[in-house]
Amino acid sequence: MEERKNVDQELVLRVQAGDKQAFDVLIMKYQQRIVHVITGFVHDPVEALDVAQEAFIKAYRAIPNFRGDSAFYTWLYRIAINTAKNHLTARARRAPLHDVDAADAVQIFDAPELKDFETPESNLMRDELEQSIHDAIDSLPDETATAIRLREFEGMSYEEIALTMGCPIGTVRSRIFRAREAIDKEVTTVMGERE
Amino acid sequence: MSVNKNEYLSALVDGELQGADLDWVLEQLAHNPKVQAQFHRYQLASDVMHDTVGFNLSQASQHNLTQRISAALVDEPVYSGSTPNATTESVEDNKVVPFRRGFWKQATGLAMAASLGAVAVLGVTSSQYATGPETTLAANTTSTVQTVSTLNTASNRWTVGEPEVANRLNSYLVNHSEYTGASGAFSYARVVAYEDE
Repeated sequence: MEERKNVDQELVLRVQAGDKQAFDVLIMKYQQRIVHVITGFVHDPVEALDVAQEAFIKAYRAIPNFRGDSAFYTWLYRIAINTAKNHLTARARRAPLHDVDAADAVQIFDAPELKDFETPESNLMRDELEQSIHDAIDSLPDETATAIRLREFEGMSYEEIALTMGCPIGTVRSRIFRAREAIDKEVTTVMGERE
Repeated sequence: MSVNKNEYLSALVDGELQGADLDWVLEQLAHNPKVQAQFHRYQLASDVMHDTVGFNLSQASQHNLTQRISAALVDEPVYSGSTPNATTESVEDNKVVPFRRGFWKQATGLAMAASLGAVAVLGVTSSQYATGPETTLAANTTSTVQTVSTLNTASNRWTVGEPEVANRLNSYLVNHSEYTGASGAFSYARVVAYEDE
């Protein structure tokens, strides 16, 4: 993830210098991952989104103090974890006010509005999307498929991929882009079918 | 050969975009909804490949978290580049090197011993001069002393008017600082006097 650091730090510097829109890009980049992390603690989708929002707001407020000693995502991840834990603590504190006993608690956690994220429908959608992405990669020319695999599954930087494949960095960038274009067609199709 | 603008977005997803290209993409992302949607899809595909998708796609489209958070941040201040004195949330942000365990215990013991020593010395000297005239230490040495300058390594500023003299003293200070950095001696210097050449 080291290669992410440069762009992230550049974006952080821009936010610190007064560019609020640069923070939007950081949200776009990390919203899925942060929600994913939070759902490990908070299982209700609506609550998880609220907690994610709170975590990003906390991050924005703390960003003037971020000096880049750690990767931005590591820092953001910790804020998200702490926010989720605080949310659970606050919720537990509120619970006795409703005088919930053990039997009621079972009913509450079975309530439809507190359903887990991992519904059969959401799992099916994710599986479908994953399969379509793999199909798209399998249908690519070898060099293009290798470039995107090294990037996404091996986590290599463009420079490392260029060294591995023996080609210029610019070529790596355009191969990965072509792979993403092919993947995007599949993603768009799956999303279109679902919506 | 012109580069497809989506290639920049792809490079941004990978964190491999810099300089003018990054400026251009950020500008597009700020104002062009099509570019935003494209970036979302690239990022989503990447997150699916990393198995870090937080919610299903229909929810993602219904709850555009970016828009929600941007709206929530409207009233937040725009930073001006200066770091406020607010406390930091991150432990890693704190660059203060902690003292070894037991340091304060040792330091307190030393301070107490020094205090007792000072009391003893002052007790002896005051008893010696109790009946004598008031001390005039340094009163007769001012004939050769032009100026007294006090400095410490934190400020590096002199109260001396002459630039040449200030430069000489500065060089002494720099040499002293470099030496103390290596030897562990006191990183504090007090220049009590200098003479005309």
